[in-house]
Amino acid sequence: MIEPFVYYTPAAVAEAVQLLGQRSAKLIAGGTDVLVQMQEGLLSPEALVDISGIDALKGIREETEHVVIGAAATHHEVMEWAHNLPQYAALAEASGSVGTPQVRNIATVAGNLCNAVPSADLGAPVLLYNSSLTLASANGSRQLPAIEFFTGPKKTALLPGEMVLSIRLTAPPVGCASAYCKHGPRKASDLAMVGVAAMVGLDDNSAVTSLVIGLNAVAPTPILVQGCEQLVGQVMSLSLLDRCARMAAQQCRPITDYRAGAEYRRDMVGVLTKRALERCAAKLGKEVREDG
Amino acid sequence: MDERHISFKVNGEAYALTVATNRTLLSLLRDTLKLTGTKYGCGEGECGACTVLMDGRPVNACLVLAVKADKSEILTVEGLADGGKLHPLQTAFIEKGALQCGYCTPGMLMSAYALLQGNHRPNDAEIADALAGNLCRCTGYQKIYDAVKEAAKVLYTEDGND
Ligand SMILES: Cc1cc2nc3c(=O)[nH]c(=O)nc-3n(C[C@H](O)[C@H](O)[C@H](O)COP(=O)(O)OP(=O)(O)OC[C@H]3O[C@@H](n4cnc5c(N)ncnc54)[C@H](O)[C@@H]3O)c2cc1C
Ligand code: FES
Ligand code: FES
Repeated sequence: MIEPFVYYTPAAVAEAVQLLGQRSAKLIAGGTDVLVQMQEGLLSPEALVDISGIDALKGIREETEHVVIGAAATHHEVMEWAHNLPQYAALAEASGSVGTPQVRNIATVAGNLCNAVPSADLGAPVLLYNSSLTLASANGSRQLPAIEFFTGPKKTALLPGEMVLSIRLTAPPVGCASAYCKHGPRKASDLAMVGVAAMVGLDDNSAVTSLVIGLNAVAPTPILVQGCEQLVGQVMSLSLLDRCARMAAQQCRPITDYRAGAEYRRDMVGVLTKRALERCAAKLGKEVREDG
Repeated sequence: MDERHISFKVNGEAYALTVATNRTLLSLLRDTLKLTGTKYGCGEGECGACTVLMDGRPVNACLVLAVKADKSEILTVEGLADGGKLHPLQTAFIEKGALQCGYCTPGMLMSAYALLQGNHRPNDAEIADALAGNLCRCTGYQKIYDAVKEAAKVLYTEDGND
């Protein structure tokens, strides 16, 4: 049973942020987190503000240097859009790993980020693109780097009454490919025990031109592996994979919970980091070289 | 209590009614429209027993507010048969033994129906992906995959569509 609430369907952002200014109002997009919590009685807001009908928040827009994912864009839409774009494959694969087809048809990418559970699949992939979020409240709007958006488990930098309008990704240099590797108990409908997102650029000689690795579910927030830029210029080889795997495993801060132990998670970070990098190289038509 | 007036179609039939905003689409279908083919399993998006098509796409009716059905077209398992004639998916499920208790079947059929709209020759992996949001505790799935492939054959080869 869902407790009664007053339901608002604003047609424009200005109206939505006015409504969200009321303390008792809760924003709902796809509702796959909000309604589950309301069904379980964990949440009973006096009012729901449904933003899914606001035209300005719909869809995915490609600009010259950026891609803008509207707050109402679903995982299904992201999968369709990024389907044949190797540089955005990490997003498509992460969205494709969320829940079930039924969930992906209504759940949004922005909702995934705002929910901000450490296992949320879109966290690390979004960080690969030096992304920022466009936020708005009744007091105006601001731009925030995605890396500053996540402040802890289920905690974000959103101020009371503030909402995400869109996610703005920086287009990666040409010749990049990305991938998302998720490890969970089942393929469908299970949260990640570990998720690794990677983006790699390689030149004709298989030397690295860019390298970014992001991790989900192994720290209080999604994180980027530090120091990857120092590997630019090195050849994509097995020893480079080992080095990246070590860096990622050292930098993660997993916890032990009912889903997995910290040590297991740390080991899997190494395994999945290599796998994600190999998949990027394969998408670029390159093999990972044996070391001489 | 907050209410909304909505108009929408279910299985081709137009409805206009007033619903409380805290009702789910599942409760609207089952309790108000008495279309009890769609099942309640978990109420949390996990099992898929409540799967219906909303504007052609499978959704969990337990995770959709009834008011969201406004101006949409809903297809439920009751809308599959053509009068007294079962849909080829339904016939294939029976012939291939793709159901035992049958509780998951309406949801399975709806997800399979959506798959076949876009893919006339699905392989086992594609069927598994399309049905990943539908749990079955009885059959072990292989017979369901077989039934979906059989239905695809009946639907898309015999009259030379594909
Ligand atoms: C069966 C099932 C399986 C799932 N599997 C996965 C999985 O594998 N991986 C995974 O990561 N998640 C999973 N989820 C969780 C959920 O589906 C995703 O996090 C989804 O992307 C949430 O999007 P939504 O639009 O449904 O969010 P909603 O439920 O609408 O909102 C989620 C939260 O974010 C807030 N919010 C939403 N949009 C905005 C905005 N624009 N501005 C500010 N705040 C906002 C809401 O107020 C709420 O607190 C699963 C859920 C279910 C029911
Ligand atoms: S009842 Fe809706 S998914 Fe289980
Ligand atoms: S036939 Fe019993 S749950 Fe599928």
